[in-house]
Amino acid sequence: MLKCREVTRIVATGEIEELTWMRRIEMRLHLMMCTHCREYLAQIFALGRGVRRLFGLEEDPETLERLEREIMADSGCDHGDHT
Amino acid sequence: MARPPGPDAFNDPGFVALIRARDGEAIRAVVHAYLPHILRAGRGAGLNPERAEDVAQETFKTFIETAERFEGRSHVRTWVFGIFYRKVSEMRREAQKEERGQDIDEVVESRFDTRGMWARPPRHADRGVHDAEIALHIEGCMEPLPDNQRLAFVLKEVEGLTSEEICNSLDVTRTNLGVLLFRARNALRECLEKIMGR
Repeated sequence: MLKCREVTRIVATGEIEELTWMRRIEMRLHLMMCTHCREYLAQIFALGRGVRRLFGLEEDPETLERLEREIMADSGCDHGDHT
Repeated sequence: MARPPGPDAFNDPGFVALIRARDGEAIRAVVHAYLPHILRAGRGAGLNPERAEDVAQETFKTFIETAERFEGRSHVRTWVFGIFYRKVSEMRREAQKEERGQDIDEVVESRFDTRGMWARPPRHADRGVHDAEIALHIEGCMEPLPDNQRLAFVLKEVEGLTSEEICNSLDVTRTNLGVLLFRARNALRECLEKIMGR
Protein backbone atom coordinates (compact mmCIF):
# COMPACT_ATOMS: atom_id res chain seq x y z
CA MET A 1 0.00 0.00 0.00
CA LEU A 2 1.42 3.40 -0.98
CA LYS A 3 2.06 5.91 1.76
CA CYS A 4 1.25 9.61 1.35
CA ARG A 5 4.94 10.47 1.47
CA GLU A 6 5.56 8.03 -1.38
CA VAL A 7 2.67 9.48 -3.40
CA THR A 8 4.00 13.02 -3.14
CA ARG A 9 7.44 11.83 -4.21
CA ILE A 10 5.99 10.09 -7.27
CA VAL A 11 4.03 13.22 -8.15
CA ALA A 12 6.73 15.85 -7.60
CA THR A 13 9.66 14.01 -9.19
CA GLY A 14 7.62 13.44 -12.33
CA GLU A 15 7.73 9.66 -11.90
CA ILE A 16 3.96 9.81 -12.24
CA GLU A 17 4.42 10.16 -15.99
CA GLU A 18 6.00 6.76 -16.40
CA LEU A 19 4.38 4.41 -13.91
CA THR A 20 3.98 0.68 -14.43
CA TRP A 21 0.34 -0.35 -14.65
CA MET A 22 0.57 -1.91 -11.19
CA ARG A 23 1.86 1.34 -9.70
CA ARG A 24 -0.78 3.27 -11.56
CA ILE A 25 -3.52 1.21 -9.98
CA GLU A 26 -1.97 1.69 -6.54
CA MET A 27 -1.83 5.44 -7.16
CA ARG A 28 -5.46 5.53 -8.27
CA LEU A 29 -6.60 3.61 -5.23
CA HIS A 30 -4.66 5.86 -2.91
CA LEU A 31 -5.93 9.04 -4.53
CA MET A 32 -9.47 7.75 -4.40
CA MET A 33 -9.20 7.42 -0.64
CA CYS A 34 -6.94 10.32 0.30
CA THR A 35 -8.22 13.88 -0.06
CA HIS A 36 -4.90 15.38 1.06
CA CYS A 37 -2.94 13.69 -1.70
CA ARG A 38 -5.62 14.65 -4.20
CA GLU A 39 -5.22 18.22 -3.08
CA TYR A 40 -1.44 17.95 -3.34
CA LEU A 41 -1.64 16.53 -6.85
CA ALA A 42 -4.05 19.29 -7.89
CA GLN A 43 -1.68 21.92 -6.52
CA ILE A 44 1.35 20.49 -8.31
CA PHE A 45 -0.59 20.51 -11.59
CA ALA A 46 -1.74 24.05 -10.84
CA LEU A 47 1.90 25.14 -10.50
CA GLY A 48 2.47 24.08 -14.09
CA ARG A 49 -0.59 25.94 -15.31
CA GLY A 50 0.40 29.01 -13.30
CA VAL A 51 3.91 29.18 -14.70
CA ARG A 52 2.67 28.60 -18.24
CA ARG A 53 0.23 31.44 -17.78
CA LEU A 54 3.10 33.64 -16.63
CA PHE A 55 5.73 32.73 -19.22
CA GLY A 56 3.72 31.01 -21.90
CA LEU A 57 2.83 34.24 -23.62
CA GLU A 58 3.77 34.77 -27.21
CA GLU A 59 6.96 36.75 -27.70
CA ASP A 60 6.71 40.09 -29.40
CA PRO A 61 7.16 39.46 -33.16
CA GLU A 62 9.17 42.64 -33.70
CA THR A 63 11.66 41.71 -31.01
CA LEU A 64 11.98 38.23 -32.48
CA GLU A 65 12.56 39.57 -35.97
CA ARG A 66 15.14 42.09 -34.80
CA LEU A 67 17.06 39.53 -32.75
CA GLU A 68 16.99 36.98 -35.52
CA ARG A 69 18.39 39.57 -37.90
CA GLU A 70 21.15 40.53 -35.47
CA ILE A 71 22.12 36.95 -34.77
CA MET A 72 22.32 36.12 -38.48
CA ALA A 73 24.21 39.32 -39.27
CA ASP A 74 26.79 38.35 -36.65
CA SER A 75 27.00 34.76 -37.71
CA GLY A 76 29.35 35.02 -40.64
CA CYS A 77 27.18 32.40 -42.33
CA ASP A 78 26.21 32.83 -45.93
CA HIS A 79 22.84 34.50 -45.80
CA GLY A 80 21.03 32.70 -48.57
CA ASP A 81 18.11 34.75 -49.70
CA HIS A 82 17.77 36.54 -46.38
CA THR A 83 17.58 40.26 -46.93
CA MET B 1 11.31 31.34 -50.96
CA ALA B 2 10.44 27.94 -49.52
CA ARG B 3 9.39 27.86 -45.89
CA PRO B 4 12.31 27.13 -43.60
CA PRO B 5 12.33 23.52 -42.43
CA GLY B 6 10.69 23.01 -39.02
CA PRO B 7 11.98 21.06 -36.01
CA ASP B 8 10.75 17.76 -37.46
CA ALA B 9 13.32 18.00 -40.22
CA PHE B 10 16.17 18.86 -37.85
CA ASN B 11 17.04 15.23 -37.16
CA ASP B 12 17.50 14.48 -40.81
CA PRO B 13 21.16 13.56 -41.45
CA GLY B 14 21.20 15.88 -44.44
CA PHE B 15 20.11 18.74 -42.23
CA VAL B 16 22.71 17.90 -39.58
CA ALA B 17 25.34 18.08 -42.31
CA LEU B 18 24.06 21.52 -43.33
CA ILE B 19 24.31 22.75 -39.75
CA ARG B 20 27.84 21.43 -39.44
CA ALA B 21 28.70 23.26 -42.63
CA ARG B 22 27.12 26.37 -41.10
CA ASP B 23 24.77 26.73 -44.00
CA GLY B 24 23.00 30.08 -43.62
CA GLU B 25 19.52 28.76 -44.32
CA ALA B 26 19.84 25.81 -41.97
CA ILE B 27 21.24 27.96 -39.17
CA ARG B 28 18.50 30.49 -39.69
CA ALA B 29 15.85 27.77 -39.52
CA VAL B 30 17.20 26.69 -36.12
CA VAL B 31 17.39 30.25 -34.83
CA HIS B 32 13.89 30.91 -36.07
CA ALA B 33 12.51 27.76 -34.45
CA TYR B 34 14.09 28.17 -31.01
CA LEU B 35 14.62 31.87 -30.45
CA PRO B 36 11.16 32.35 -28.89
CA HIS B 37 11.73 29.39 -26.56
CA ILE B 38 15.16 30.57 -25.51
CA LEU B 39 13.90 34.08 -24.82
CA ARG B 40 11.04 32.78 -22.75
CA ALA B 41 13.21 30.31 -20.88
CA GLY B 42 15.57 33.19 -20.09
CA ARG B 43 12.75 35.11 -18.48
CA GLY B 44 11.69 31.91 -16.76
CA ALA B 45 15.23 31.68 -15.41
CA GLY B 46 14.67 35.01 -13.69
CA LEU B 47 16.42 37.32 -16.16
CA ASN B 48 14.87 40.65 -17.04
CA PRO B 49 13.88 41.10 -20.72
CA GLU B 50 17.17 42.74 -21.73
CA ARG B 51 19.31 40.14 -20.04
CA ALA B 52 17.12 37.45 -21.59
CA GLU B 53 17.83 38.97 -25.01
CA ASP B 54 21.54 39.07 -24.28
CA VAL B 55 21.56 35.44 -23.26
CA ALA B 56 19.56 34.48 -26.37
CA GLN B 57 22.09 36.23 -28.60
CA GLU B 58 25.03 34.67 -26.77
CA THR B 59 23.42 31.26 -26.97
CA PHE B 60 22.98 31.38 -30.72
CA LYS B 61 26.39 32.95 -31.22
CA THR B 62 27.95 29.97 -29.47
CA PHE B 63 25.63 27.62 -31.31
CA ILE B 64 26.84 28.98 -34.63
CA GLU B 65 30.49 29.03 -33.58
CA THR B 66 30.37 25.42 -32.44
CA ALA B 67 28.00 24.15 -35.13
CA GLU B 68 30.69 22.10 -36.80
CA ARG B 69 30.98 20.02 -33.62
CA PHE B 70 27.29 19.12 -33.70
CA GLU B 71 27.07 15.42 -34.44
CA GLY B 72 23.34 14.98 -34.44
CA ARG B 73 23.49 12.43 -31.64
CA SER B 74 20.98 14.45 -29.66
CA HIS B 75 18.28 16.66 -31.09
CA VAL B 76 19.49 20.13 -32.06
CA ARG B 77 17.04 21.56 -29.53
CA THR B 78 18.85 19.71 -26.73
CA TRP B 79 22.14 21.11 -27.98
CA VAL B 80 20.77 24.65 -28.06
CA PHE B 81 19.20 24.39 -24.60
CA GLY B 82 22.46 22.96 -23.24
CA ILE B 83 24.34 26.04 -24.45
CA PHE B 84 21.59 28.23 -23.04
CA TYR B 85 21.85 26.57 -19.64
CA ARG B 86 25.60 27.16 -19.47
CA LYS B 87 25.12 30.82 -20.43
CA VAL B 88 22.47 31.36 -17.78
CA SER B 89 24.60 29.67 -15.15
CA GLU B 90 27.57 31.87 -16.04
CA MET B 91 25.48 35.00 -15.95
CA ARG B 92 23.88 34.19 -12.64
CA ARG B 93 27.14 33.06 -11.11
CA GLU B 94 28.47 36.49 -11.88
CA ALA B 95 25.51 37.97 -10.06
CA GLN B 96 26.49 35.72 -7.14
CA LYS B 97 23.26 34.20 -6.04
CA GLU B 98 23.50 32.31 -2.81
CA GLU B 99 22.23 28.78 -3.05
CA ARG B 100 19.27 28.02 -0.92
CA GLY B 101 16.51 25.50 -0.89
CA GLN B 102 18.40 22.43 0.22
CA ASP B 103 16.34 22.55 3.37
CA ILE B 104 13.19 21.98 1.34
CA ASP B 105 13.75 18.25 1.87
CA GLU B 106 13.36 18.79 5.60
CA VAL B 107 10.30 20.95 5.09
CA VAL B 108 8.68 18.24 3.02
CA GLU B 109 9.70 15.55 5.49
CA SER B 110 8.22 17.51 8.40
CA ARG B 111 4.80 17.33 6.78
CA PHE B 112 4.60 13.57 7.30
CA ASP B 113 4.37 11.43 10.40
CA THR B 114 6.50 8.36 11.04
CA ARG B 115 4.08 6.17 9.10
CA GLY B 116 4.45 8.37 6.02
CA MET B 117 0.96 9.84 6.31
CA TRP B 118 0.21 13.54 6.20
CA ALA B 119 0.86 15.23 9.53
CA ARG B 120 0.39 18.72 8.06
CA PRO B 121 -1.63 18.24 4.88
CA PRO B 122 -1.60 20.83 2.08
CA ARG B 123 -4.06 23.58 2.76
CA HIS B 124 -7.11 23.33 0.58
CA ALA B 125 -7.08 25.93 -2.16
CA ASP B 126 -10.12 27.54 -3.68
CA ARG B 127 -10.19 26.32 -7.27
CA GLY B 128 -11.64 29.42 -8.91
CA VAL B 129 -8.99 32.00 -8.12
CA HIS B 130 -6.21 29.48 -8.03
CA ASP B 131 -4.50 29.59 -11.44
CA ALA B 132 -4.54 33.35 -11.89
CA GLU B 133 -3.28 33.87 -8.37
CA ILE B 134 -0.47 31.38 -8.85
CA ALA B 135 0.60 33.16 -12.03
CA LEU B 136 0.69 36.36 -10.02
CA HIS B 137 2.92 35.08 -7.23
CA ILE B 138 4.97 32.28 -8.73
CA GLU B 139 7.68 34.48 -10.20
CA GLY B 140 8.63 35.79 -6.78
CA CYS B 141 8.61 32.28 -5.39
CA MET B 142 10.93 31.10 -8.18
CA GLU B 143 13.47 33.81 -7.44
CA PRO B 144 15.29 32.06 -4.55
CA LEU B 145 15.41 28.67 -6.30
CA PRO B 146 18.84 27.44 -7.41
CA ASP B 147 19.34 27.73 -11.20
CA ASN B 148 19.21 24.06 -11.99
CA GLN B 149 15.93 23.57 -10.07
CA ARG B 150 14.32 26.58 -11.66
CA LEU B 151 15.42 25.64 -15.16
CA ALA B 152 14.40 22.01 -14.78
CA PHE B 153 10.95 23.24 -13.75
CA VAL B 154 10.64 25.80 -16.56
CA LEU B 155 11.94 23.49 -19.28
CA LYS B 156 9.53 20.83 -18.13
CA GLU B 157 6.41 22.90 -17.55
CA VAL B 158 6.72 25.79 -20.00
CA GLU B 159 8.84 24.44 -22.82
CA GLY B 160 7.46 20.93 -22.56
CA LEU B 161 10.82 19.27 -23.11
CA THR B 162 10.98 15.54 -22.45
CA SER B 163 12.84 14.31 -19.38
CA GLU B 164 15.55 12.94 -21.64
CA GLU B 165 16.05 16.30 -23.36
CA ILE B 166 16.22 18.13 -20.04
CA CYS B 167 18.73 15.62 -18.67
CA ASN B 168 20.93 16.15 -21.71
CA SER B 169 20.58 19.92 -21.66
CA LEU B 170 21.33 20.28 -17.95
CA ASP B 171 23.77 17.37 -17.99
CA VAL B 172 22.13 15.50 -15.11
CA THR B 173 20.95 11.93 -14.63
CA ARG B 174 17.30 10.96 -14.63
CA THR B 175 17.37 10.51 -10.86
CA ASN B 176 18.94 13.95 -10.39
CA LEU B 177 16.27 15.50 -12.55
CA GLY B 178 13.62 13.91 -10.32
CA VAL B 179 15.28 15.42 -7.27
CA LEU B 180 15.48 18.86 -8.93
CA LEU B 181 11.81 18.80 -9.90
CA PHE B 182 10.82 17.45 -6.49
CA ARG B 183 12.63 20.27 -4.70
CA ALA B 184 11.47 22.98 -7.10
CA ARG B 185 7.83 21.94 -6.98
CA ASN B 186 7.73 21.50 -3.23
CA ALA B 187 9.52 24.78 -2.61
CA LEU B 188 7.07 26.57 -4.91
CA ARG B 189 4.09 24.87 -3.36
CA GLU B 190 5.23 25.78 0.15
CA CYS B 191 5.94 29.36 -0.89
CA LEU B 192 2.55 29.81 -2.54
CA GLU B 193 0.75 28.21 0.35
CA LYS B 194 2.38 30.72 2.62
CA ILE B 195 1.40 33.65 0.40
CA MET B 196 -2.06 32.49 -0.53
CA GLY B 197 -3.00 30.78 2.71
CA ARG B 198 -5.71 32.50 4.62
